[in-house]
Amino acid sequence: MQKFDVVIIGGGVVGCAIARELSRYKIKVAVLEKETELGTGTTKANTGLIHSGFNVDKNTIKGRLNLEANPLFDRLVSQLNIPFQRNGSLVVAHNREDYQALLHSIEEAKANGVKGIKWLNKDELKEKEPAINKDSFGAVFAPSGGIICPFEFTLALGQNAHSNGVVFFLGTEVKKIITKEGWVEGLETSRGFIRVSFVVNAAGLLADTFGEEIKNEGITLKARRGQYLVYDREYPVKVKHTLFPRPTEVSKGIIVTPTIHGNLMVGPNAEQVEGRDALETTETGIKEVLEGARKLVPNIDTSAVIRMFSGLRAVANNDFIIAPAKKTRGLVLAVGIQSPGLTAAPRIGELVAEILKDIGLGLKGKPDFQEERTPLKSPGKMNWGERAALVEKDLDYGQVICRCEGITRGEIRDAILSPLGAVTIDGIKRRTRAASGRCQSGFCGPRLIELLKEFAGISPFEASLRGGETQILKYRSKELLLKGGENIADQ
Amino acid sequence: MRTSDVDVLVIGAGPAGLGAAIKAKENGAREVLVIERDFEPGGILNQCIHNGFGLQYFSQELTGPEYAGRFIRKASRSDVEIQTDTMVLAVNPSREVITSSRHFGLQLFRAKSVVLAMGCRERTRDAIQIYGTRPAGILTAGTAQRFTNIEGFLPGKKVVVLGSGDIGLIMARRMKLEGCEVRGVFELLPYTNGLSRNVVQCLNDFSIPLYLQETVTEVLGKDRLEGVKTIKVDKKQSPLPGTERFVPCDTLLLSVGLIPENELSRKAGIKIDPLTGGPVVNQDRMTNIPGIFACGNVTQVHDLADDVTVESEIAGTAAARFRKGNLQGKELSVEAGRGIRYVVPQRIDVSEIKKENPLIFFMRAEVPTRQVKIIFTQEGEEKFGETLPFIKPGEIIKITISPEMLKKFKPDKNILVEVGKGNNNG
Repeated sequence: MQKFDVVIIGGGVVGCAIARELSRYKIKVAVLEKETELGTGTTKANTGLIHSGFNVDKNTIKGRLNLEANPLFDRLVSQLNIPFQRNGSLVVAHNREDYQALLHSIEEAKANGVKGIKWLNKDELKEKEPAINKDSFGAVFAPSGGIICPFEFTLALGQNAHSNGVVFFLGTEVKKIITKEGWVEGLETSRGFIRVSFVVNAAGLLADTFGEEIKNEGITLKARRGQYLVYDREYPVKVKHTLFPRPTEVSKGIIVTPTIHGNLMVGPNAEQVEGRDALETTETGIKEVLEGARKLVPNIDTSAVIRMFSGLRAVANNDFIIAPAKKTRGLVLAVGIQSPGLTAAPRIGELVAEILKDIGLGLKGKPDFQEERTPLKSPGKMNWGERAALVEKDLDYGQVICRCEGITRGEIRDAILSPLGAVTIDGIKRRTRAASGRCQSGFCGPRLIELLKEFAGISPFEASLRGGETQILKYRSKELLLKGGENIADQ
Repeated sequence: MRTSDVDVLVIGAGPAGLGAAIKAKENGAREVLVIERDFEPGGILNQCIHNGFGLQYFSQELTGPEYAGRFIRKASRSDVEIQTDTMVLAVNPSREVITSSRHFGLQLFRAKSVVLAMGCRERTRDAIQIYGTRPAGILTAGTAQRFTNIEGFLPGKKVVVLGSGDIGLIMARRMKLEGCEVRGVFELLPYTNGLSRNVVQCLNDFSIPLYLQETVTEVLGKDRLEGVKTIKVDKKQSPLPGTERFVPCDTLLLSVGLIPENELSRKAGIKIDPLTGGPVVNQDRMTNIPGIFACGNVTQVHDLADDVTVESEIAGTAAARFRKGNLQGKELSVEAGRGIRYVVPQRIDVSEIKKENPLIFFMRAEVPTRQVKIIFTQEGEEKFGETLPFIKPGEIIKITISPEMLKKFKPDKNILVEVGKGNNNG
């Protein structure tokens, strides 16, 4: 039987941020993740923005954490060695009414400590962002807004936590929280019982599915879906900043943004959906997204779309719930983490640690905590001299597997063999960008299946897009004929 | 970085690259090097195990690997060097080429001329916006062909093919031959995009239904594809409400268009024709950058490997003869007019009109039409015309203009190629 001081349920960005924070202390921590890879829920399918905190209500938890977390990112990304860019946000006014409302928000944002925020008139806006709708009235410029890859961020947090002693159980589902006399005693999981006194529920969309203890908290989650389109990097329609419409009460609206990897991305819309796995894209949804995007950048069409996807947010009410459970002692909730969850994640980690301390967990700092994470090698980002030297040392970086993104065998090998390594095609894709380009794995798919076999021992029939029943190959050539032949013989 | 000089560097060892390399050698280039990213030379032909290749060029019916094999052997006899498992990372306008490989590391080649022969890639599900979930079982037809013919695996057993491009038709038959249930080939347009012979030999002969003006709008199934939703469309491709149906399947193969692979070309500053998706080339298949040539599917998506060979031989010959001094400079443009989607070459060197060589023009029709006269005009005046019994977008049109006829063209006026007036759409 396994025994831990703290178990975090959920290996998304919130769970991994909490894990990394707790890995600073001399305690035994585990993360349980139902899927075989980290960050496969809400984390993998969102806009990838580090919000400036413009237009937040600082009286809400999500607003406060957004404001507090944004400034942490420069230091955090340098520790984690991941790409991040403060490309700046532009909240665009289309008319005088928008303008009035936005001017008011600027004052609020200034009072909230959002740095560098200012109004740009029409000409200044046009100069900053030439692709903008020429009918735009002006925009609020928030230079501290940034872009990041949500998956890379999550994996880096997870890997750093792992190297500081956190144990990850992937492909492990929590069935039930077991309590005794009102105290957490352990977890019943798909891999047996785990004894633990403190549990953090960071299970995203599934956070209300672990039995009575959660139901007793009176939490009901709803799934809100957002659809997106991602464009080829060579698509001539480009933006530098993240463009927002004037936000409404419920949503930040449909956004046009570059991704950290240089693709144009548009979305999301916001739809209430039934169930927790309604991850399809729809004609109406995509049309709505395109219409919204065109209000900001009229030239956007569908000629260079390389991917459509949809993501679900867990919405509890209008705010995050980050608090000790009322009825179960030892249980901490980090649920209802909708936007700006990605931005707030580092502060959610700190806040959860404080809560755990308050409810009785002893936290003593680890003198040997390693805050730096060694990044994977990325020959495509090197100059020719560096790249030649790297390939000379390790020829695996010389063989290009994904032609669209220029990803090498060495990078894919590292993605599979590094801690919390890739075990699926999507896992390789999110770690390396192989298969994420314009051919969408048409060329490198067969090679990736071979590499999963070579480095992870996964047979071609087991190789899958994302685990579950998503295997790519079903039969050997001639297998159906042989089977058919037997049937005929039987008749 | 290892640095070397070569006469002609060819990117891609498919039929285009091999054809160009052999011709370059025959025309006096001393060192000809072909860079190939795959493990074997031959390009996509290696997975095209069906027959139908070489009828025009060899007057013999060959399979894809046989067709490629002839060029691979010839290349080897001609002392063409082929470096496989090597990827070109960059080409610059000074014809410096950087490659990367697991065997040689990074290498820099300085070439007197470069031939781009990278071929094309397939359009994907997202490029044509099929909505729905993201299950396993959706592949481009070419990827499925590689899995089936090279790797030895099948992606599923109940197959729907969307798009009637040649690969789609070939793969519909291939899947049937593998014992799969092929539910049908769906095509948005009122006509097929592939060769007529493939419609007959791949679909009709195997009783595979072809559904014209009916397309896939949505895929269903969480982890594994469970079926597709289809809808019929009218002539304007607008969906017809009430004609939706659900077709159960575990595999959807897409044959919805090929796109020339010009990422390297664009980065080298080569001008791309938006109509072909390939470089703008002159009659020698030289791009706007002197000394950089392009041929095969990187220039225009061909129907037949035989035509690729014809085009590659033009490019290879010119690449061998290229010297900085022999540029004429003055060029006129050839444009696609009424009824014609594109024309290759897009430019003609004026001095060429005075030479004793015929010129071959490749073009595609916009719509299927019977009894058509294709005319070449300058300033509205017809200079040349050829009547064809039938044209369709799925079959490339080749028109050869003899040296005598070429002399009728003015050396300083652009050429417009169009379908003559008064043709009936068929």
